Amino acid sequence: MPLGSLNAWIVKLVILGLIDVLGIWAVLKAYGANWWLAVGFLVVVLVLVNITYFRRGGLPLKYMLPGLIFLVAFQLYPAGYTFYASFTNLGTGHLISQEEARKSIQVQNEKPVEGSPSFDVRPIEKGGDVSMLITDPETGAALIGTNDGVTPAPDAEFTGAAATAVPDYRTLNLGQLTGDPELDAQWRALAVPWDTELGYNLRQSSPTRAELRQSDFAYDAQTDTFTDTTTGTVFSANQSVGLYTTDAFDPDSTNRQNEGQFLTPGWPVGVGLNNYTTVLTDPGVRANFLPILIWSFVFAIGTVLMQFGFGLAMALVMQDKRMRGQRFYRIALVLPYSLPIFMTALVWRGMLNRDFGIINQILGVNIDWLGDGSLAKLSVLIVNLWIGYAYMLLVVTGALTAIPQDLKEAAFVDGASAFRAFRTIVLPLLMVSVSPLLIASFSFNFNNFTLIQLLTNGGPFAGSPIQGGQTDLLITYTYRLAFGTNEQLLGFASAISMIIFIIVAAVSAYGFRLTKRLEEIKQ
Amino acid sequence: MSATKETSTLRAAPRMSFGRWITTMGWRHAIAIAAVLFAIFPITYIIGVALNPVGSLSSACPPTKTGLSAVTCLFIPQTFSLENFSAIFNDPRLPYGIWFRNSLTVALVAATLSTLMSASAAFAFSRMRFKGRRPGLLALVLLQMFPQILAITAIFILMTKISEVFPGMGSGTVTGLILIYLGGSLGVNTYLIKGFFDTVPVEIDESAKIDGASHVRIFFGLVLRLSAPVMVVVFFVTFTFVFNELAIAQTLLPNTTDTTLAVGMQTYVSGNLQEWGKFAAGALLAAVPMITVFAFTQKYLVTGLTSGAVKG
Repeated sequence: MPLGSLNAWIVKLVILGLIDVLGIWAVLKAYGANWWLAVGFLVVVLVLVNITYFRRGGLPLKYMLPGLIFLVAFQLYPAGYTFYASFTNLGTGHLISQEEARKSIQVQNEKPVEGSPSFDVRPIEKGGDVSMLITDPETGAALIGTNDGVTPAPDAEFTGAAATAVPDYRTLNLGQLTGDPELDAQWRALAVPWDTELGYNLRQSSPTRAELRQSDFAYDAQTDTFTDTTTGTVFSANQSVGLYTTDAFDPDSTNRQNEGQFLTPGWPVGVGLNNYTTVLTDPGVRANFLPILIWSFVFAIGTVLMQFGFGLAMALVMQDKRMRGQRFYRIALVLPYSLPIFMTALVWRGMLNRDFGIINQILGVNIDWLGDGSLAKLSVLIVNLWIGYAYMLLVVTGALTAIPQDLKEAAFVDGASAFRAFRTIVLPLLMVSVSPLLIASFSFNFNNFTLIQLLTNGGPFAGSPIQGGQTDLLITYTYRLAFGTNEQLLGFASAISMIIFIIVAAVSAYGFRLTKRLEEIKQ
Repeated sequence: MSATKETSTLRAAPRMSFGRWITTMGWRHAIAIAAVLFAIFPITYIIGVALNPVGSLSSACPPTKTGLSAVTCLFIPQTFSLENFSAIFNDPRLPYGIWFRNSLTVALVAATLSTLMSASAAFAFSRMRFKGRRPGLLALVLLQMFPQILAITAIFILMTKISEVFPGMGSGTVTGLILIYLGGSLGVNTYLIKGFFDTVPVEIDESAKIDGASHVRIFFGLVLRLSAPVMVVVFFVTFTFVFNELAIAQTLLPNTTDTTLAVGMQTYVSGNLQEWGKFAAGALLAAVPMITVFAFTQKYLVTGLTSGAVKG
């Protein structure tokens, strides 16, 4: 025994040592990237892991900590961030921090300084960071330039008059740059401050050449304003919209009407309940939102009823033990459940195809099953019935076998008909055990993104896809708002996500209350 | 097997007239056969498409056949060729082999780790009493109602940031996808397994404790073993979910040269590319892992789905 526990102790020590090494490395990486949230999270995790597993006692945490870490990082945090984002204008033009937006404004509006000399430069790399090896055209000395400034490089090697290599660094040639998009992007983004007073930056124009560039916009840190050096217009930081704007900027007008009165990009700022009120009160949005909301309910409830009804019917048909070939029937009937949805949904799309689909060929018709609003809705429901009834068949079969046989028989002895016995004895008992699964099925199908995207992609569309299609669920509509078009509306999409959450939670809570009542009846 | 069947027929035969058989058994068979045809025709049809070398939808069934004669196309392949199967492995733009490997890796690793971590947390929730247990359970119930797809914006932003700071772990990587699926499945699975653990009598581990068994031994040797059905079900459900997941996968691995089956398969049949033959071949192969996992777990599925899922 002591030897065994010693071994276990050594194993534990090695594993914890590895985790610590890995964790410290990660903390340093996050620190180097100024990602404070990650630094904080990783430090807490490291401390917690070491305390939990080195101290005696605290047994529950020892069992929960591994799962807890992943749950917090990849479920709780995204959920919390969604909640936060739903109160902001996060999205295209408001994706980066104000500081990054400031840099971007300066860079985007740069133009070459007239009469700038051409610099001999080389991209050099150390530890994945690209710097610029510069030969000063006036003094002929070598310098190393980064985004923060320049430092002399007295030990650089020269080829002719140009500095081409420096110890500890790897000089990159064109092939190495184009072969590694990461390094190339760094090289292109590199802006070496050359004359901070005049606002000159040194920027590459080729892998061996650089020129001085200057921003049209002069930034004043004191007042947090940009001044257009060509026109004299002043843009000040406007925290209510997350943009640098002029005084003439009208927050109630569209971007087009405000053309020229603001600079892009901006940064995300809180907009209060705006995203939520837009969904409920904006006539244009409401006209799109309401039909989609109703169809989401029809689809989810309809799916659950159809799948459950069909699964229950088949379970009852095959309930009779004297029936032969049961094994075969069961295997064949459960087959659709054991196939990937990305396969079956697309197969159905092919079969329902108007011109080449087998369904039209058999029926001898030319119906556009997925191109007409009502037909598409019906098709989606039937396909989902095919995909999901087998799950219900399994569940109902399991629940039916759990119902005591003598209860069913007692009803017959009382002279009840088969149907009456089923309705008054079997069904209530069945509902007690399957209703939580029906609720789960409702919330799954309310968010059944995969099926809709693969089968109809939300279509058919009456107008532009951004207005939603006939078979769009809230979740596919939201996904399109967030990622589907040129303009990402991440804050608005997050608000709809929160609305979906509230709906699903409310329906589930109501469903569980009903289940409780059913259970009381049973007792 | 056949012997027992025969005896049962012999026993049943004299008791049942044909008319009686129709009213008691016959209608059952009629309905079951109709349902089986409904269940399998898309599958037999796609087998026909996969075995057809031309690879378009219309070629799977000659246009001369219409009406009832076209029904045969649903159940009987019209041609036999394995061309589509070899073609999908020789297309570097749509590398089916890489998709397959990615999907299998992600689903296996995520399902295994998630089941183990969830079981471990569920053990604490089921067998120990500690501060924060009730709020913890309540949090798990709430988290179940917030599927990750609702937080897809936040996941996208988080994983983009991670890929900048820790290349190899963020968006664009299989590891990143596994991390996300792990986080998303832990809450639901812990709750499910905890429900089942609660049905395993505490007296069993108490008597083991008296015999001097450590908590590690009670967990691995007793509780886990007695809960095999629910562990299998949770593994199956997580595997299936991850294998089929589309929204997060296409957000994190949008590049068709390195993505999962769920994301990749649709490219065969979208836009101008209408490679139904290749799609069908790939789909049939993609079904193999799921059917395999299903075949191994289905014995437990019926008991596990109802008992574990219902007890809360």
